[in-house]
Amino acid sequence: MEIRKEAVDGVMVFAPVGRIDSGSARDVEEALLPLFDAGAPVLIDFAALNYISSAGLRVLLLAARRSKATGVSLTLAGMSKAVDEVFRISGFDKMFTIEADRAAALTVKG
Amino acid sequence: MALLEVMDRNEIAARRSAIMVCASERLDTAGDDGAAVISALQAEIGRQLAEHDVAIGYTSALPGAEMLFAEEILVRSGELHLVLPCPIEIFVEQYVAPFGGNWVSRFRAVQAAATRVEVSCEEQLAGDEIQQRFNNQMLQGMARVHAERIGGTARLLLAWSPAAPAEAGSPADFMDQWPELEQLSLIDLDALRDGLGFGGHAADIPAAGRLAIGTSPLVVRAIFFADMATYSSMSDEQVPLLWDFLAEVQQDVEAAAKPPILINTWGDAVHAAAETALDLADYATALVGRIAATELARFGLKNRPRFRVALHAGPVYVGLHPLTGRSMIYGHHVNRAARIEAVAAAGEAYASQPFVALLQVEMDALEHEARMLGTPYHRPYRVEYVGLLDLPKKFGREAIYRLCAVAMPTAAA
Repeated sequence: MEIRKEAVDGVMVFAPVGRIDSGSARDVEEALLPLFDAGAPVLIDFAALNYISSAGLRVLLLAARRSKATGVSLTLAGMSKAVDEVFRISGFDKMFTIEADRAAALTVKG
Repeated sequence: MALLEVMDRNEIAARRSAIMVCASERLDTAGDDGAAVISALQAEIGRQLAEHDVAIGYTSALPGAEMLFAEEILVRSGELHLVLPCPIEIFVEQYVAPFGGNWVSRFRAVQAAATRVEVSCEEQLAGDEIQQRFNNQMLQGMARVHAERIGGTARLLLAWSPAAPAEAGSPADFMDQWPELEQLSLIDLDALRDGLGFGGHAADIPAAGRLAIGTSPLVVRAIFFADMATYSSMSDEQVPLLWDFLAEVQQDVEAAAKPPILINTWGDAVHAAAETALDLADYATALVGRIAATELARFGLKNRPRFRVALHAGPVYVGLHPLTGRSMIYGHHVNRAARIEAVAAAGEAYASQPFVALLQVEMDALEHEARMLGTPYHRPYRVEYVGLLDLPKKFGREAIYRLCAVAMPTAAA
C-alpha cells in the first residue's frame, strides 16, 4: 500500500493511503515503528485512509507501546467520520491522543 | 451435534445475548506470580462478560485466559462451545498438560460441561501454526453464524501479549482477521503483569506448547468436489454431446465467477480449490446454475446433466503430483470433501460447517467494510441446514448445509 511520510515543523507525519487491513497491516507496522527511534514526534494522518480493521488497530497499539517505551509522542489525526465513530464506540479512542486534523495536531505540537 | 440443532434448542433463551469468542496467549502460571495473574485475569474476564451481557461463549479452553473464560461462562450458566485445533486427547497432551498444575482437570471439567466440543482438524500436527489459524477461523465463523441465527452480535475478547510474535495462529493474528474494532475487547497481558509488579512478558510458554512458527507445510483452502449424478447412465453417443454442453456452460461460468486457483478433472468428476469460500461459492453456484439453465435441445442431450457439488474448507498440503506434474492439494480435508460429495443431492451445492463458517467470516468482513465506507452490500449467499449426515468410508458425520445464492436487488426503475 502507499504510505506517505514527511517531516513537517519537526514532526514526522505518517500518512497511510487507502486501507489498513490484514493484508496491509504488516507493511504499515514495518514502516511506522522505526519512526519512534528517530526522536521526532510522530503524527499519523488518517485523512487518506478510508478503512481500518482490527489489524490496523493492532499496529496502532504497537505504535503506542513503542511511543511509551521511547518517550516519543504519538498523535492520530484526520479520521473520517466512520473511523472516528468506531474508535469511539469501541473505546479505543481513550488509548490515543486524537486531533481533528493534521493542522490541529501540528498546532498542538508547536 | 450440528450448530443449528443447538441454536434452535436454545434460541429463545439466547435471543437477547451477545456471543463472545475468547482467544489468548497461553500462560505459564507456575511461578510465584501465577496466582496473582490468574486472579486479575479472572476479574477482567468477568467484568467483560457482565458488561456485554454474554451468555454464549466460544473458545478453545487453552490454559490461561481461555480456560478462565470457559469456566466463567459455565459459572454464569451460559452456553459454552469449545473448538479445538486437534483431537481432544492430543489437545490435552500437547496444549494443556505441559502447563502442569491442575489445568488438565480443569479442562476435563469444562469439556464435560460444554454444550458442544468440536475438533477443527483431525490431523495430528499439534503446534502447527496454520492449523491453529484455521481453528481461530472456525471459532470466529461458528460464533458469527450463531450470532446471525439469533439476531445477536459476535464479539472478540482477546488476551494478548504485544511483545509476542504476531505469527499465524497467534492472538495477534486473530485480531488481524477480525474486522470490527467496535466488537473487540482487549486484555493486554504485558500491561496486566506490569501493573501487578511482575517483569517479563506474558507469553512465556513451555517449549512443548509453542507454535512451530514459520514451518507449517499447510495452507487453508476452500475445497470443491463434484461429479455428475447421471454420467454412468449416459450412452457413449451422448458423452461427446455432454462435453459440448459443458463447454457452453464453462463460457458462462468464466464470465460469472473467478476461476479456481486449482482445478483437476477425471471423467465426470471435478476437483477444485480457491483461496476464499466466497470465490468457490461463486464458482459452484455459477456452475450449478448454468447447467440448470443452459438450453438442452441445442446439444442433442436427452437428459439434463446434474452435478453433485460439495464445498468444504480446511488446512491442506500443496504439491506437484509426481505422475502428472500438476499442482494438487491433499490431506484429510481434501479426503473429507470427497466424502461430502458422495452424499450431496444432485443439482445442489452442499457445504460443510467449516465452509459455512469461513463464508460467514468473509461476508461479515465485506459487510463491515461497506458499512464503514457508506456503500451498499448485499449478502450473496444464505445457507439452509440439511442435517447431520453420515459420510462414507468411516469419515463420521458432518453438519451439512445447502448453499443458496441470494438474488441481488435490482435498481429501482
